[in-house]
Amino acid sequence: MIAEPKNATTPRESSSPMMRAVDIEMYYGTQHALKNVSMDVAQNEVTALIGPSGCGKSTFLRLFNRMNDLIENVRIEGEITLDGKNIYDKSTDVVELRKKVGMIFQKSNPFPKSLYENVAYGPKVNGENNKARLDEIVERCLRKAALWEEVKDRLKASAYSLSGGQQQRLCIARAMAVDPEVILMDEPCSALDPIATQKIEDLIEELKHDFTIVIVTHNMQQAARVSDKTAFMWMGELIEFNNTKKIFTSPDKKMTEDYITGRFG
Amino acid sequence: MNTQFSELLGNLEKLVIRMGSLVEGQVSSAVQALVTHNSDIAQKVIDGDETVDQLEIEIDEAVLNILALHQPVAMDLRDIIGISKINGDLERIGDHALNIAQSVKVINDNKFKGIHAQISKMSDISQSMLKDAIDSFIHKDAQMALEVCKRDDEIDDLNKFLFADILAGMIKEPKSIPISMEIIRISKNFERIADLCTNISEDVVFIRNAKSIKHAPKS
Repeated sequence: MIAEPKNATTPRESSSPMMRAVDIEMYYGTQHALKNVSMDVAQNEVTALIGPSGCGKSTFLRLFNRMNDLIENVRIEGEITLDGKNIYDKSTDVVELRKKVGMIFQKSNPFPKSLYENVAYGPKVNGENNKARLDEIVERCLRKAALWEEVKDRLKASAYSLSGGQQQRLCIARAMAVDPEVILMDEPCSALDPIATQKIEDLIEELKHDFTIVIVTHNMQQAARVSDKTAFMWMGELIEFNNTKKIFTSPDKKMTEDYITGRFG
Repeated sequence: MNTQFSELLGNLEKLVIRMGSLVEGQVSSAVQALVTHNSDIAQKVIDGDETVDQLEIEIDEAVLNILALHQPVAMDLRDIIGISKINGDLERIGDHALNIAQSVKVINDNKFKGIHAQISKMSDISQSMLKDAIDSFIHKDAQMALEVCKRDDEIDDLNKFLFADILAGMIKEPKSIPISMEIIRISKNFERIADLCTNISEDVVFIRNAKSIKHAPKS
C-alpha cells in the first residue's frame, strides 16, 4: 500500500460552509474509526463521500446529525458546526438538530401510514394542525420530490403500495416537510433499479437549490454525476477532498487515483 | 483494476503502437521513394494508406467500447482520450505520407532528379520526431515528449526557407513551376507531419501529467 500524507488536499475549507467538521477523532471502544478528519460542507452544494467499505464514510455522515449518539462506547473528539454552532455542544437540542439535518437511508423506510400521513407527520409533530397548511406542505414536498404527479390521486393509499424508488422519493419528501437545511443521504440508490436511480439523481440536482446535501455512495459514477465536491476516505482518514471534476480527472493523491480507477479497494 | 478493463486497455495501447509503427513505415517508405526516385515504392505507400485507415476505425471502435462499457476515470480516462487523439493524428500523418508519395510520382513522371538539401533535412527531422513521439507514448515519458515539441520550430524554419528559395527559382525559371509546386507540397507535408508529432507529444504530456500544454506561449 502506498503511504500518503496524513492531511487531505485542499479545499478543506469553504468560505461560508453550511457545516464544518474540525479535527474529528472518533472511537468505537478501542477502534479508532475516524482520524483527524476536517472538512467543510458548502451551502447548496452536493458533497459526496466515497471510499471502500469500512473506511468510515457512513460513520462520518452520521456525525452530522448525531446518529452515532445512539451507539454504545462511542467517543467523539473535535467539533461539527451547523451555521457556526457546535452541534456536539451540551446545549444542543438533538431533536431540533435532526429537523435541520435530515437523513435518507439506504433502504427506504416509510411509516406504515398513508402517503399523506408520511409527509404530514413531521409538521404535525411540530404542532402544525391546520389542514389547509398541511395540504400545502404535502403537495409542495411531493412536488419537490418529483412524486406528486404519480401519487396525487391516491394520497390515502399506504406508503407500502409504492415501488422502491417511489418510497425513497417519499422519504425525501418526508425529510423536506420539516424544512431542513441539510439532507444526509446514505447510499440512497443502492436498492434501486437504474431508472429509479436516475430519478433520485435528477432530484438531488434539483434539491441542491434549496438544501445542502451530503451523500455517501459506493457508486463512483454516481458521485461523479451528482456531486460538486468529493471526499475520498480510507481507513478512517480523509485522503483527498476536492472539486468532483478534479477528483475524477486528475486527483492529487495517488491513493485516490488508484481507488477510483479500481486499482485497489 | 478490473481484469477485463485492464486487458481491453492493454489491447488498445497495443493497437495504437501497431498504428504508430505502420505510419512510421509509411513515412519511411515515402522518404525512400523520394530519395531513390522510385515510383513503385511510392505506389506501395499510396496503396498502404487503406490499412492505416482501417486500423484508425478499429481503434475508434475500441475506444468507444471501453468508454461505454467501463466508464474510466482519472489516468485511465486521460489515457483513452489521449489515445483517441493520437489515433487521429497518426492517421493524418499517414495521409501526409500518401501526399508525399503522390508528389514523388509526379516528380518522377517529369524525370526530375534534384532533391533540395532542406527537404532531406526535413524528412530526417520529421521521421525522428515521429519515432520519439511514438516512443514517448509507449514509455509514457513526458520529458521525451517535451523534447519532441521543441524540434518543431526547426522544421517550420526549414519550410519557410525552402519556400522562399523555390519561389525565387520559380520567378527566375517559370518552366520549373509545376515541379517546384510539388517540392513545396512535399515540404509542407513534412512540416505538417512535424506539427502532428507535436500534437501526439502534447497528448502524452497530458496523459502523464494531467496538464494540457497545447497553445502555451513559447518561451
